[in-house]
Amino acid sequence: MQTPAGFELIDGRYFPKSWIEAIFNPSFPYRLAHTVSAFYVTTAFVVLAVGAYTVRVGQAPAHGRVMLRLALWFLAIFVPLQAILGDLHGLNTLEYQPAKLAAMEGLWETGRGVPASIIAWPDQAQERNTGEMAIPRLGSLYLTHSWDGEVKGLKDFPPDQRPPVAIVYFAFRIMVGIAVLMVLTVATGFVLMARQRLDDTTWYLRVCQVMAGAGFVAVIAGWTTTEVGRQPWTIYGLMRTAESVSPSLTGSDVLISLLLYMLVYIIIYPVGLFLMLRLVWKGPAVSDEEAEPIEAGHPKGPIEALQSAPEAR
Amino acid sequence: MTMELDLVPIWTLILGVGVFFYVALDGFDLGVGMLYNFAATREDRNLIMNSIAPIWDGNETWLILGGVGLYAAFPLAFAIIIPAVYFPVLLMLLALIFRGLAFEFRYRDAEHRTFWDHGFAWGSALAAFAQGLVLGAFIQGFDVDGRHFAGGSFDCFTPFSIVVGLCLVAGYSLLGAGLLIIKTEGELQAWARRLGRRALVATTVAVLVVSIWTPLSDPVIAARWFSWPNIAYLAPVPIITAALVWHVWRSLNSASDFGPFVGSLALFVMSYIGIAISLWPFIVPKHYTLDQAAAAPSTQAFLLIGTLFLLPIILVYTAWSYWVFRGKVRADIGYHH
Repeated sequence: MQTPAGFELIDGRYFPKSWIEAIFNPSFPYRLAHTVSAFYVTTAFVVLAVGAYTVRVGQAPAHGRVMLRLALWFLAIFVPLQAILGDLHGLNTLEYQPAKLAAMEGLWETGRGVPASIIAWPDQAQERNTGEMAIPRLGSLYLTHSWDGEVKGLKDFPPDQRPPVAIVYFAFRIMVGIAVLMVLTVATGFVLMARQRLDDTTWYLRVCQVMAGAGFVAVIAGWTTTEVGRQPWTIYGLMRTAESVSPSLTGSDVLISLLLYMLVYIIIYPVGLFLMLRLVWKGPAVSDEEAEPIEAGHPKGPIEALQSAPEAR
Repeated sequence: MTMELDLVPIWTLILGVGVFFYVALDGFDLGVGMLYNFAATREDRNLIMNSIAPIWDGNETWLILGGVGLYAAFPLAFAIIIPAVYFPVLLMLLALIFRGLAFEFRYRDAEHRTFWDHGFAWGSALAAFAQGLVLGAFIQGFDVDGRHFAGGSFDCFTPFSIVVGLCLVAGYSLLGAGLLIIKTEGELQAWARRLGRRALVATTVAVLVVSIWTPLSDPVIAARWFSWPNIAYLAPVPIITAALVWHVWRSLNSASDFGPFVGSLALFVMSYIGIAISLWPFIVPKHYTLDQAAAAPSTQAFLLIGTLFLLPIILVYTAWSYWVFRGKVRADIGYHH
């Protein structure tokens, strides 16, 4: 739906023409690879953080040291890979969703050798950025891989076909900013590893712990970039979001359902997080009881045999 | 393609069977969830939860098949029905979240076991009730304007749909009791039989109310059932249903392990057929028939290829997991994932 393909439009209705084209649409490979790689990186940072905690408090440090090193080596491959995939995805977006790309860059005027905006406040009504800090010509280099490649600005698109620029602009910067922190974290880790100081540099282990949530924030920021950036379209360039709303659904209906979702998530997320944290605080069990095979050849149940349930002791 | 094969009957069959599989399979494990809170001891509750732990999530696969099948094969029906039952579907999904989490959290989060115990039972009951609301609203029909649902999001909460909701709660409890009779023995089984008898009475009353109310509120349905010669052809439906009620009652009071469950399942089949007779050939009652709401033949053909590949896989793994976890549950053997 971001780069729809493999369909035909007959009497205002969409009909499929080719499965292969529909699935392998222009942005599919980049989108899939960039997303899956993001999940691997996110998970590896959680492993890194748990390993760092375990080493720092001296609880099962042997496990922790393995976790630290495994995660660092994994990230040394996947963080740069993710950057390359992101760059390729960007080239694809430039070609198929130029308005989104212009919003990500906060670029209003079409031009060659466009600057790279570092930070600014994009003003949608005035069609310009205020308080901008930018590096000349760099934008064209990383967007088109050429110093004077042409990049379309937002003013090339009618105002009613532009996404909410500020959200896309900042979400993209949050994602990239976290990527930079990730690169620094991994690089520092390797420097410390080379100096044999990885396991006793407390400040670094604390940094790793803080980075546990980095991947999650980056994933959500990236998601926001792509989904807000594709506005005002549901099916890019063909069907507007406003046209795809169920006619019967009112604003208050949506508000009620959103509040219900929030209520459920407010209960579930803290509980889930607490349960996972508790596993980390407890540390790995001395002997892995769960792995022991029992009579039927199946491991024990969610209702673990009663005796081992904590409160039944 | 030179000759267009009519795929609507095939998709009707796939959807019809898929939805029934969902009702039968998730029906019993939602039912087990509802009965769960009535069990006296924690040991019993553990056994009850273990009786469905390996299979409940597989059962819910059929809900996805039903939803996606409706969306893809009968998009017009999906576009009208889903907005019309927006809140019941939302309630069902949120209830299923609590219920599903209870399996995981109940044992890991020992301090809050009672909270997740309630989450399991009430989540199951609310999901069942919400499904009944959807069914009730569906039988009553929707306010349609052209190709859109024209009513409001709360129109589906009517006295009739609430009664159908309660009917499904009772019916699922009956299925759940039937399953527990198969999966347990001794005291716990006797307890399941007692609850099964109550659930059977409640189900019978509820089905009776719905069966009388439906034709009373809709002359077309009344004409279909009570005009000559239909009344003669369709008479076996209520007669067989009544015989099944009698059979389930007897097997609940006998030593039969499988009788109550199989009989209850047959009761569901008869109710399902009854609803199908009332509504046929409409998929959006009174407005669009299956043929009118169907996606283009090319779309349906498209989807059929994938479905015919996946359906056997689903059936095989479902059957296999039931085979692996067959027999009675015991306190010393469980399943962990």
